[in-house]
Amino acid sequence: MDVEQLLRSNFADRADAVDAPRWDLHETVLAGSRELRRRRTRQVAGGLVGGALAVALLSGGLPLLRTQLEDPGQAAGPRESAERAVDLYDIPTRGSLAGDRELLDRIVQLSWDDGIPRDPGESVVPPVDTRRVLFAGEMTDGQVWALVEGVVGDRTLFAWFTGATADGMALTWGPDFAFPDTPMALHDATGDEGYLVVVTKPGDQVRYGALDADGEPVGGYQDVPAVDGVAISRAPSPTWPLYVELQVLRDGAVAYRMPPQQFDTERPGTAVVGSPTAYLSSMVQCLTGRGVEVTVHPDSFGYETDDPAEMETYAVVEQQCREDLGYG
Amino acid sequence: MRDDDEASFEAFVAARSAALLRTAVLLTHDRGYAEDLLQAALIKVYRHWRRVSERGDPYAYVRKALVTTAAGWHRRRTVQEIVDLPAVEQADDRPRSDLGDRDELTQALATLPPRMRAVLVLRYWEDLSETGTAAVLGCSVNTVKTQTSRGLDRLRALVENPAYVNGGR
Repeated sequence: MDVEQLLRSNFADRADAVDAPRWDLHETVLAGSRELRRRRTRQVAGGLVGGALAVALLSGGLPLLRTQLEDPGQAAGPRESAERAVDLYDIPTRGSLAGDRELLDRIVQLSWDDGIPRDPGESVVPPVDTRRVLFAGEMTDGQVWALVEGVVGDRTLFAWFTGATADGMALTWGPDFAFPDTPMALHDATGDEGYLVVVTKPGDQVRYGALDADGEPVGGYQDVPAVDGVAISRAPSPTWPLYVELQVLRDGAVAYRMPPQQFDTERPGTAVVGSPTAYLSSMVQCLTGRGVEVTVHPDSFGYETDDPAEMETYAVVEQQCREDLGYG
Repeated sequence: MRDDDEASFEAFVAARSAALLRTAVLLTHDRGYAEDLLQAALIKVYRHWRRVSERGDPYAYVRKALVTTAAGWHRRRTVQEIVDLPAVEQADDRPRSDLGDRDELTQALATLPPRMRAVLVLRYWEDLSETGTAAVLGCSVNTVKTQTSRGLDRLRALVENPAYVNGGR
């Protein structure tokens, strides 16, 4: 049996079954392009726009795209709309230390500086008065973990802080963009296994599985009891990136499949391979070292050119860097 | 953008977007994502449409934007661990086309890593050479060869499975 022939036939059949594109595709593209240009003219951070656009596209297509492209100046205040009332950001602090007001006040003052140089207009450090502690809890060995969200412009960002004690807490993971509904999870990848904390909405169920290299769960999924939307357990450390998969069930159905953010306490300040911090910093270092002018955004990088020929050259260098760094 | 450029872009979208959407569907395995992907790629290209169109048929350039945008999304979802999507089985609740005995191959394709799948789509749907595929993906020809070989091996393992063969397929 010729698999190449089957493949061609499969592609042809499936392509034939694709209906025509939306009738208003052209208008939608023009509207999206105009809005991007307008935002850039306003010197809104390019990375935020790209991120917002990409995430909007990923999250639900046109309706969300249009939502994301709305004029931020006309948008409802990020903390004021009724819709936002159910965001993770708006849920009162959870965790065993949620009642320690003094500790929470100290946590929101902790530094969000991740050491990645960014332009002033692309700060990912939310003002203190926008920061909220979503979770603060003590692990069984006395470690203290906290999840904090804050607002920069019209975007919500999050960061995880951990410490051997409450006094020793420091930025462990982030900052990165947060999404209203998406659960947050952090996994200590030090040693053979480590704490896994999942913060989601009350009523959600959480389970995790260890995946093999083909993405298949080894031994199925294990339920993690969640109290008030917070699940704490211990999970095996990854043998390869994206080794651990979380599943969050909402209303009885799997609503999210996601790897937790992971860190290694034996390498303070560094994240395990596969994390955005490690990826971003190493790629930026590689690209700039090869003469590519790079703009660092909160969650990505971009090039200082719109020239197609230069972009093609940069794409080749980027691929070389990815392969050299083991991300290929 | 000048009026003639606007007209040229609109004509391109009208004439070629169906073909691009078909490729996007094969890349993503999801009509909704494919439409979003195509929009994102066209927005990218529209910004320097004149230069793109002056270099000849823009299709190849838009296709490249499509594929690299798809790869970028993949990076966001894996490396950056941003997963804000409902589970695949929930999102993919539209009626499937009648693919008959090729459903399993389709499902197997969906399990391939996006860049590997992109290589196969470019090689076996777009009929690009290994060199052309490498140019689109911004990688070496050797990478294309490796990805093609591994992808076909994985699919071959499926279609050579006795259950597949004996199922009237």
